[in-house]
Amino acid sequence: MSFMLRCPNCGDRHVAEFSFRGEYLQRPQQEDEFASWADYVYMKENVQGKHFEWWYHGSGCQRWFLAERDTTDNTTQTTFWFDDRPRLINRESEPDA
Amino acid sequence: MPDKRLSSHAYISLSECDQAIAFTFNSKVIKARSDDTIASALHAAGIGILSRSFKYHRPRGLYDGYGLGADLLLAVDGTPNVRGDKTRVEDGMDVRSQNAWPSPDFDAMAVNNTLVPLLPNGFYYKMFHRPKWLWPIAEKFIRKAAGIGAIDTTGETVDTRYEKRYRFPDICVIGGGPAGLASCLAACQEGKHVLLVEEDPQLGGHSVHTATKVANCQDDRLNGLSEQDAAGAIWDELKTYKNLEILTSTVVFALYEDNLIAAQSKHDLYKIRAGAVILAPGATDRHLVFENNDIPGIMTGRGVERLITMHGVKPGTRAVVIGNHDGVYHTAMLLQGAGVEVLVVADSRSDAATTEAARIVNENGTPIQPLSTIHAAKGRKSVNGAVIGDIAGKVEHASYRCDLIVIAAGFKPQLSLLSMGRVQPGWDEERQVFRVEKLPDGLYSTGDVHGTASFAQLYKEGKAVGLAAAQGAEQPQSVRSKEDIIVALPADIPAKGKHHFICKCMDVTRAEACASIAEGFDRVETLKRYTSMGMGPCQGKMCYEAVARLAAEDTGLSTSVAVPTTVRPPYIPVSFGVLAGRSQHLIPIRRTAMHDMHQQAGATFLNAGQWKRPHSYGDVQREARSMREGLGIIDVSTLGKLGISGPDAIDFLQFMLPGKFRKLATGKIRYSAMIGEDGILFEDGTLAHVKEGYYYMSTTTGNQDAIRSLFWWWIVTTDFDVKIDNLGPIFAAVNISGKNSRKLLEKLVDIDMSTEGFPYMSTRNATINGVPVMLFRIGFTGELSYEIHFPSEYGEAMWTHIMAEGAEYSIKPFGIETQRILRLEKGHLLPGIDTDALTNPYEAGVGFTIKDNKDDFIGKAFLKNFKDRGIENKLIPYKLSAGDAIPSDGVAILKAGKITGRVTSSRMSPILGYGIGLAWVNVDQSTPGTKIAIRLAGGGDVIGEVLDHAAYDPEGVLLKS
Amino acid sequence: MILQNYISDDQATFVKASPLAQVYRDHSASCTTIAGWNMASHYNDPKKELSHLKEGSLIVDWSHIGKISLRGETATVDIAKIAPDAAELAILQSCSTETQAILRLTTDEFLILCMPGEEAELMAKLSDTGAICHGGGMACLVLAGKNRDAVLERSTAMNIRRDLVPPGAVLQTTVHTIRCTLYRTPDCDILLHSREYSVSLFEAFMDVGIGVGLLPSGLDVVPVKLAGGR
Repeated sequence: MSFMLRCPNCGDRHVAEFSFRGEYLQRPQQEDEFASWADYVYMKENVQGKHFEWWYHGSGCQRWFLAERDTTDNTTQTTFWFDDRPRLINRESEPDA
Repeated sequence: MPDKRLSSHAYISLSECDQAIAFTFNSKVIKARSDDTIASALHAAGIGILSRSFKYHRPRGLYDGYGLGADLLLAVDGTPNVRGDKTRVEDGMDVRSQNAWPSPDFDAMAVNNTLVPLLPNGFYYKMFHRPKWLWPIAEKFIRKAAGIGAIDTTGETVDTRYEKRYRFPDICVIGGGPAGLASCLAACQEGKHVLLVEEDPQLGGHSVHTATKVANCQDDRLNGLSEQDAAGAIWDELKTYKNLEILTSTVVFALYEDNLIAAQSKHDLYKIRAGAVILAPGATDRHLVFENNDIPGIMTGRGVERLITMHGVKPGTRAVVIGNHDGVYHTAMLLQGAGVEVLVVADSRSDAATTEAARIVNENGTPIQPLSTIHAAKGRKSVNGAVIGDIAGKVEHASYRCDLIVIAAGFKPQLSLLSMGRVQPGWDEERQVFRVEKLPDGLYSTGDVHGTASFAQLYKEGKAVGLAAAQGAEQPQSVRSKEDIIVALPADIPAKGKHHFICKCMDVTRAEACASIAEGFDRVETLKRYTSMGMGPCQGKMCYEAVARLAAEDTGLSTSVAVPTTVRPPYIPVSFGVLAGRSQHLIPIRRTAMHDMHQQAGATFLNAGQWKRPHSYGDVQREARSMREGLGIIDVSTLGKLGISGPDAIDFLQFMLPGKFRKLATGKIRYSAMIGEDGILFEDGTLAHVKEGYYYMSTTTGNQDAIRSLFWWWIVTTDFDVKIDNLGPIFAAVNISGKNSRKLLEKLVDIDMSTEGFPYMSTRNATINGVPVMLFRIGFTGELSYEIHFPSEYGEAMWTHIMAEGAEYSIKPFGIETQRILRLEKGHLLPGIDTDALTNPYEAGVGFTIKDNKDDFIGKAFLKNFKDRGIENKLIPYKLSAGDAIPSDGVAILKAGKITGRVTSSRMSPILGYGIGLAWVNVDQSTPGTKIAIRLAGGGDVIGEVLDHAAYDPEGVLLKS
Repeated sequence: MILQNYISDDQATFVKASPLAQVYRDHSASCTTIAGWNMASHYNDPKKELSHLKEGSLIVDWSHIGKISLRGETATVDIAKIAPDAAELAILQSCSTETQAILRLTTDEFLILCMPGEEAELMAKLSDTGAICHGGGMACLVLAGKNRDAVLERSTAMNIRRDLVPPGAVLQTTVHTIRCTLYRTPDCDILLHSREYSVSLFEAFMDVGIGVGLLPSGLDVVPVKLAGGR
């Protein structure tokens, strides 16, 4: 992997400056069934195509942000702060921040 | 030795150059010119066989002189697989042939050549499949026979200095031929930072070895100049641009995502990240397949042109020239001018060429044979004849006795880098070449990669592409006139014979390829893998076109749907040294503020992640005993230290950690496990309430960076109003342990050190010699002990001070290994050593840190699930009997011959006099007093007894004293 | 709180050691005491080192300068207590004087650099803001000299071309795989990093720099100057 990722704070950087924390998922509520917790922890969508995921700019500003990346070619359309997600992630399940 | 150096040439002026330098080839001294490549110097010296082929050890000599094939991989000054035809000779260079023993001229392994029928394609897979016992024997032989080149293990080359360098041009132009130079010029004129990378020492591409003059060029200055001079004129103009950097003798060997380019310049690796890339790698002579097409003495048109014009070397004495385009007469003319007798020009076209060169060749008396091409080369170690016939391979016209066969069968675009741009090339029927028309955004291409063209046309196209790249515009369409197009010959001239080599690197013939197709490997990618065509050192640079065309043809497809196999980096053989660079770049070392103090005290160090920690200061067993009997000190600066504050600090901690901390009063400390959302124990540490609302958390050495980022992640994704301070580097820390530690602390600080005034699991502020410090009374070692945290700039001074003050109690430093014994005596687990990614905290015995009757916290759902499931295995402390052997970490625990558990930590306890440890066992073996059989690594068992408490000071009397 | 206590306490008689103390000893550097810190003033040939600025490059330890972090939602308000205009700084830009520089790292994080010994005064102004004084926790290596780009091009995979990262600019990236905050001034590239990496960073610089004329030097030759602006 050699693609560039745009840190919302630091700008375009080599992907090696970041660490990856998997798909962006909605954490269940404690009263939810255990199965939804098991899904949250172990079941990943692993889509072929665009999805939202977590990145941490460990070599730079050390901030967490979200990226929409196409897993087939590593192109990232957008990267943004968690607080900006209501504007940028259009999912039915997405509750208000 | 025949002298093949030219003193003059009839049609061109040769560059003057003395034969001033000398190098050795297989210990033989060879004289050379400073502008020689290794290959040209050897050719001049009359050395025809330079290496042997991979499988059949057939002789290999100079072919294209352009570094594409594997024919000229040589060991140079101990570095294997250096391309002899792309490497300039240097005085005193030690050059050796490879893959040939004892010499390339007489190669013992050439026996493989006569074994052709025994070594069919896929012989690795087929031959040794059954019987199974044969493989280990066969493997030894094959391993020795396989592989190309040998690494110098004598150490004589280890002082080679490899470096990594970085470049960030707006535009990187790869290839300094006419089109590349023109695109450079356009980009420079737009004010861009441009980097031009050229593989050769000089710029100009193929123009440096033609006698052709520029005509009809849009830049009128260049018209009438020789192509070489025109290239020189552009070069001169480029030199005036300060925003241009030129790297010559530098090979781009990889192109990755987002325009990351890797280039090798001798021992340096350039990593280039470009805004836009212009690929102008040009085209090279087509690889023509015919009977015996691999014998030394067969060379390409441009190969002989280079020898003559650039190195002043006569390629042979009697030549047969094969071609299908006007350029073949230019080649023939240069040969004649160099005094080579050209016996015939076999031109596959019906109409004779009308160029000036064709006229000269004809006037010089060389017959031109239309509608014909080569059927076979003759000779064993070198060419001694050629058979010419019709293009269909059916009718032979004539045979010639010759020592040189020149193949000028048109040009194939050098597509390797374009393919690395993740686009598959396709056959362009009109232009008769494989081509990549459109690359992804940010990548441009120009020049002969779109089909050869005149200098003027290449210049025009290069300028347009350079401008487009500078402006971020679309790649302009390339245009080729009808006269530029060279109709391709059949990829294989189907005359008789079994030695039609498609792939010269791996010795794969057309017949073998067909046999493999018949076996079912009828897709080009599977065919490649099965036959290993294109998988040799040249990586298909030479043969990709022939492989693709013949694979299509032999599987019944038309050329229009033929596809070359996937090209991957590297483009040339790259040494590991170049890839690795300087070792200091790889992993940094983290040192504590007291590192040098440990070094001076004779510590041996251990890597704990990137940290260097003292393993011990000599005798581990003595260190451990000395601490228990008196006073010890250990550097614990590597602990992670987080300051947690803010209005929601306590709520955040209640959420992050499994325990309850609301009642943790200021000045108090509590141990806590850390649990993931999956309920797994992954870390532990202590939490101290150091000041109202400010918590100080310590984490283990290896995890500190990960824990810090994890905490930050949770702050981002939750609504807690919390601040996390990374205090790890700010504070150095030591732990002072042993029954005399209070006495020492009383000397150092002026606060109440009594156990009533400063009880176990509490923290105090104090000063030592005016330096404010935090004291933590905790007890990982099981003795009365205190951690002192203090500003790290005082590390050396504080250590020295404590050692001096502690001298009267015989204070001794101890290392990690001692600490591991001490904690094991106390039965404390170490996350990551005694636990793994499946560790249930209840089973690990840290259930006491979990208070699940609180609101949402990390891992709550899974912990409940674990609790409901009950205990299946347990981490238990055990002891051995005195005199028992000490098992190694990780050995199995058995019950009735079945594995029921494993030892995670095992040590000899010097204070107890017997072995102790921690082990995972099945719950039915976990009752205190149970005897467990521990299998020693070398065989045999020792019997351990499960304990329900620490082996040392089970009541914790010392700890709390 | 202890972090604020210790910097305002000048009763300590212990010498403050740079993370490179070991390097000073190994090279027998000439040292001097500045604000309680034992720092290298030169590496035994100050004349040569000074002339080297014009041709080659020098690596100098400025770990004794004051380094204060201000982070959090109120950082832009709090920074005004020191420099009213700093709140307006664009991200990865700085404002500075010869003796103080304020680097804006993110929307809510500033790094304040000051002359050694002056951090107590600043921390007093920033009391109750949660500011952290890094003291010996953050080290500072400085590259100076005309030819320092030859060292940098071998040291970082980050694009720090001078036309893109001019004096006064700030960025955070890895240098020799070590995370650094780079602050560029007209004469120097200032690299702030976590103290435990300092020796390793120094060694890596010297390793790549040895072929391109990098010498270690000290504060006599390259004194602390924090002004980044044009």
